Amino acid sequence: MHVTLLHYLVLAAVLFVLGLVTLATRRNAIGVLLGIELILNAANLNLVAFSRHGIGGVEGQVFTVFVIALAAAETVVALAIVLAIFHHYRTVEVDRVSQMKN
Amino acid sequence: MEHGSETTRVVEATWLFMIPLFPLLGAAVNAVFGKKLQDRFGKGVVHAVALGAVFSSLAFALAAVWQILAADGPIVLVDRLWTWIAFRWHGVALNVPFQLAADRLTAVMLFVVTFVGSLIHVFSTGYMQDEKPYWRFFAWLNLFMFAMLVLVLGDSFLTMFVGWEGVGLCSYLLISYYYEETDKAAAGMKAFVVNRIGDFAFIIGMGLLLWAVVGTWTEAGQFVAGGPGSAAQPTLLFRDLEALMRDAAFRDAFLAKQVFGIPVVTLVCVLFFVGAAGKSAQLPLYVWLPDAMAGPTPVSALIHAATMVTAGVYMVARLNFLYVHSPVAMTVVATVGALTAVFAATIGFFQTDLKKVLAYSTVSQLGYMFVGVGVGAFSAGVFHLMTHAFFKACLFLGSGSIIYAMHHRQDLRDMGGLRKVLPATYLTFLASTIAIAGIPGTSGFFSKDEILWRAFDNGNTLVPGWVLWAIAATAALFTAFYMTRLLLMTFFGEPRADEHTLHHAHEHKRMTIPLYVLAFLALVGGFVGVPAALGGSNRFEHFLAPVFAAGQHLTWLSAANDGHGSGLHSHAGEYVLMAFAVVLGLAGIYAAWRLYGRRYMAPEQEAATFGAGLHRVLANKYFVDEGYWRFVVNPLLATTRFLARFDKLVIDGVVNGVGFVTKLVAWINGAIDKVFVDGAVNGMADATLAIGRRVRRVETGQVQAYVVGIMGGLSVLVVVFYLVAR
Amino acid sequence: MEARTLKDALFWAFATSTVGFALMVAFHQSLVHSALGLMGTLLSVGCLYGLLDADFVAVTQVVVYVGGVVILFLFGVFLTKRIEDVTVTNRSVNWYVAVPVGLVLLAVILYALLSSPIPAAEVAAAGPTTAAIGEALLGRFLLPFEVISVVLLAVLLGALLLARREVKPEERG
Repeated sequence: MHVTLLHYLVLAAVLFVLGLVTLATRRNAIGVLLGIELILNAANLNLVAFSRHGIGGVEGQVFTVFVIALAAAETVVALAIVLAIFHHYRTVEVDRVSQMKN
Repeated sequence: MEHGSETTRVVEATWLFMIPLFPLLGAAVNAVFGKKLQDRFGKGVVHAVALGAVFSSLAFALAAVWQILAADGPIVLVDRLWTWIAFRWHGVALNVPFQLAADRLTAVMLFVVTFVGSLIHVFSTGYMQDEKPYWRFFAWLNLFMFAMLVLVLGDSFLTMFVGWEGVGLCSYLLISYYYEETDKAAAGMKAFVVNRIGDFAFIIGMGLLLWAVVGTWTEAGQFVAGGPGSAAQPTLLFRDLEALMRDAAFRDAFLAKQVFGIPVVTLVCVLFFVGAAGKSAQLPLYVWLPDAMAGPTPVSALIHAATMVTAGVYMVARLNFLYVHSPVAMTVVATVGALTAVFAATIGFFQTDLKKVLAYSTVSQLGYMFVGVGVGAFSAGVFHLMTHAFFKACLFLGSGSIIYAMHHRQDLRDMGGLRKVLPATYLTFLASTIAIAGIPGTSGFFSKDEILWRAFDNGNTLVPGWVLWAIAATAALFTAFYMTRLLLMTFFGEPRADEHTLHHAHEHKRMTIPLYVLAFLALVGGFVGVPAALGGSNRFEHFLAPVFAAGQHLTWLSAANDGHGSGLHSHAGEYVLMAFAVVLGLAGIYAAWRLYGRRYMAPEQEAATFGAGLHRVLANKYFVDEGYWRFVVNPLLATTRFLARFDKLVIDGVVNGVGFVTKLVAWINGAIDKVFVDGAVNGMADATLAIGRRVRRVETGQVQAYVVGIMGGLSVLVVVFYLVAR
Repeated sequence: MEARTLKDALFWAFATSTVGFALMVAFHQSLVHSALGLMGTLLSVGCLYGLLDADFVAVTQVVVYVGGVVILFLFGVFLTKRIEDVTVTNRSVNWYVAVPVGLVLLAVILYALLSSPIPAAEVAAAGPTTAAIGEALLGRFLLPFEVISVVLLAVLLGALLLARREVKPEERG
């Protein structure tokens, strides 16, 4: 059996679910961010795979480039927030930072 | 009638977008740079920007009104801005342009909104001058003007909805203007949440209408595209829908459509009316409006009296081409309106807060407008909308002037004898009071009388006309009573304020000028619609007739639309009703004068005079708010807490073990306690509350639990979809 | 060996490493290892991009993601490590719910994929796409491209603002 588009989609699905699980289970804020990166990569993989297999043209790859740029931006801001939170609370565990609650 | 046959010409007006654009720009400038401007150049710059924006908008609006007035025959100005939604799915193409349009109905609204809005902006420069976040107030006020103008100019349901939500947002922002005070922030939230109920119905109605235009439902409730009475393409443009409804073949098939045995048109109209009831504070969704008085007084005048709350009336009038085909929906509108009118008027009796009286009065007058549009007298409803905007804005601004002079006190018990201290306010307040009481010659007389007569004379609603008339006339009597009471308690008798306050009380020039203008209009504004019975020609109704042409050929609407042509009998009847209404108004004034004219009555004395039970019920607004808390809000909160608890139990239950379960039992006990046997044992309730509070702190706000919830819910939905919906 | 078979073999290899590293991200006890796992995942995905003839994306992935983002993450991990903590905590919560739910979600997605008409036929490679991407970026997508530049600038400033430590008066010297 040769590798087809379907294989890539399945792989991306696995990656996506792993990302979601990471996102849902990590207590450390940076761990949560790692999960988000996995999810973004799953989406990117889908985009590139579709683009390669003739669904949509080069747009898929252009989009991927945009996503990578925005993911970098998002990471930077998120980590900056994490650092600020760390300075303030001396912890980065998301379930302990709850001052905005109530 | 000749209007029905006239066709409305479409005139391109690419400058129409300027009307809402200026307030938007003003809002943007003040929102972004306002603080800087205010700090560096003073408050003058801030209000210069805001006033410049509204006056530019007013100029363009007047140009539009002028063009519509001067045109030969009815015209509609159209400005197509951009294609907003272009959607194609299985051969169905939905195209919604972002399009503005101004016909004669819009012209009335444009005039009211921009004119009254400008005056209130001027007033605000005086009233708000001591506020620190001056810029914030004007930014939101301009934003409100923008949203309101989009609402009235919008040519499709969606464009209108943008404005509809926009005014809701601005209302929230402005009610919570003093957000440092918890109760004021809560009032804003209440307004937002209650409005949301109405908006939800609006969206459902819009969706249902969209589907109903392109297809039909089987008896089992299955949607089938196409079929008789279905347009090839869906549309959300008012004029397209109206044109479709004008086509007899389409209309007859459309009216026959049913969902689960209910005619679609009735369902759609009732849903839209629920939306209108939320925005226009009708039963049972009126509760937010009295609380909305927490906002600054100019806001109450502009948003919660003159413009935003009338949006619901405007919408029903705008959709007259649908409503005229549903007697049930019309009956609902008129009945709810009439009940609200009398219900709110009674609450106004014993309120001790100056602005609360006016708020309930607004609710009551809005009820009147709905009676008007509900009995098929759309132009009468809109006429009352306009005159109400004048006199109620004047009353609110007058109350603002009083509150300003009294150092932000608004309790009637602290007033009295202000006639000499605030002469301009007194004169204008008096003028507006006689207008709202319906003294002949004032604007309120003409518009209220028109509605009362039409309500009596209508054969359109399932409720007999005289019943509606009787309820509305009672409300008129009550209105005259409580307004006179308000006037007497504020301006007459011995001053009850302390020396210091009275000594410093003064009027501000920028506040009195708008008052005079509005009072003038409140007195003479009604002369645009003098009914035929009084020798006038009711120009207002003729002006709006093309907009409301849809129902004129319908036999069951003819009584309302052909009234002034139907001969002597009708005139005689109108005279009698008119005289009766005037007598009722005078009776209300006289009763209030007898009771309050010579002496001030404190609430305790009122209770003694009117009976303690009645006073208690009315002064506490029929305990409606308490009822909502007890039967809606608290059970909801309890359910929420219960669900949160349940959630946590499933997730964490095993680990936390016995102590956890014990707490759970205690908590559920507490919840049941709270809902079912509230207050039975206070100590127990307190203990429960304490436990509940502690437990709740552990439970909520775990974002990651939400993620899991979303994942799981999504999976379940997809599985269900695959298994069931295939 | 036929070229296509070689490519298939490479796919399986990279797919395995992707999933393996991703598992490490998801489940490893140490946060540092998780971050390194992310690096592995990203590298493997980059290689898959290469296999998919997306040369430009592959390079971008390696340069920006592996070179930039992962390093950033590692810095983040070390900067937020408390001195007294020996290992960086990476405790997880909810896993006994999240993992089953994740599996169900995966099953749902796979079922949807397998029951959808996805073309299985091989499409001839279009060759290197760098030139095409360049033209697209400076042509049809010029506005988004420029907007992203502005976004990145804003992010730069925002991150500086957020992460800078308040200089206390006595620290100023």
